[in-house]
Amino acid sequence: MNRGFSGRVKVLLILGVLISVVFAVTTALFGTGWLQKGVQGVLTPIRGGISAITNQIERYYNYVFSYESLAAENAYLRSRISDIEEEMRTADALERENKRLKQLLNLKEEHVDYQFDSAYVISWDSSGWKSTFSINKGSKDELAEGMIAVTELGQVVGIITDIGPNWATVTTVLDTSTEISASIASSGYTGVVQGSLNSSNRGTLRMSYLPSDAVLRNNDQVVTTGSTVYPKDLVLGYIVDAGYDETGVSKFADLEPAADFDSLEQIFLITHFEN
Amino acid sequence: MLDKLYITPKQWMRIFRWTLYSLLFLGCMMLQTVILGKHKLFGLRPDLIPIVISCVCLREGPERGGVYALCCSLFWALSGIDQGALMILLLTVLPITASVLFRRTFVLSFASALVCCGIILLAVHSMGFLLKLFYESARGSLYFTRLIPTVAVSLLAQPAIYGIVKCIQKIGDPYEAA
Repeated sequence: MNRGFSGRVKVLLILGVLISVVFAVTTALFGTGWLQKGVQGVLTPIRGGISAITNQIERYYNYVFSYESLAAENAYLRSRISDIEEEMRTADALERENKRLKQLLNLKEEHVDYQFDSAYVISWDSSGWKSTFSINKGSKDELAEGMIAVTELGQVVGIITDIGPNWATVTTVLDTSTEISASIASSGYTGVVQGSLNSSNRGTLRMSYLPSDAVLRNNDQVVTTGSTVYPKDLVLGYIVDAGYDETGVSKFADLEPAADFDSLEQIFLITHFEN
Repeated sequence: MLDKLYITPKQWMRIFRWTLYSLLFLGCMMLQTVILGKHKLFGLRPDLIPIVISCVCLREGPERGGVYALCCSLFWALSGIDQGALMILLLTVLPITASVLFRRTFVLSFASALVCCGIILLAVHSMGFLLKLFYESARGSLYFTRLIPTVAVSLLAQPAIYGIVKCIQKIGDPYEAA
């Protein structure tokens, strides 16, 4: 038996090196190729099927083992609904008053028209260094690169960075490559929000380039300032920590993401908006 | 002409064996990206792909295992992972080299395969991490707080994968011996 690097083994090693170089060059020059799109297109229905089965099993498990907590949660939610209904009645009155005041001041109310399309998360990037996931819809469903993904509560999830006929890759706001212009809702300070790699396995966001005299409070809500890519006033997260950056001339704030990425199943893509 | 198309029982067994290896790879890939992507293990996402490729390479040898490593790493890269080109290089070269050196030096056993898989996993993740360190904003301390635990958690799956690979390898043994 040949126990060294035989001719065939050497050929395999050279092939491995050559293919990786060709792959790197073609990806850098032309982006995702037809072969990559094809493989992902084939994997999407399989991933979708397994994801659906897993979700069903999870629901069944939760139903069986979390019945008591669900019953308690149900009772709590019922009381919350009655509170919210009361608040809504108050809000209606305030809204009417607000409208009258706006008319009085001849202020033009801004109307932002969002059009949504929903999709299901079917797989996650497994490297631990990137934060991306795949969804079960693509260009066939009139989705396109650059569309924003949000939760049903309007919390920013990420942006479509790659797309195929029946799948799309969403890079989440937790990824280090993401940069979003944002402002603190209560004070109006603006900065740039980026994904942050940290030792805890839960992703965080960092808001940088805040003025050095900015007053930052815990739980202050951070929202998008609006751009050609991101619509205005989408919730990014809440301040949990703050400090001066390395230069000492500006402040930063660490944010807890508003969206719960651990329980993300369905997302909504903003297919059209007017800032 | 037709007698050339005839597939011998030995060839059937080989086809069956390599189909099972492919299904094992696909199964681990789905487990890793779909199920463990959402439900992390101890807060970490284990990496099963290098383990599957390494185990097959160790059991089947560098030639047949090398072809498997090349095909699997290419398919893995084409599935849209991060650092695809690097993964093709590492997941082909490392298991083949390890298989050659390992067969020269050690007797194939569960413990030695575990050590070998651990080294390959660590090398694959370390190379990826080095690139992150130089080109992105990863901090050096993450090597110890995230990378090493990820490798350790991934290795928990090695005994099961190695056992499955060992069982699959036994398919067609009488024919191979003949």
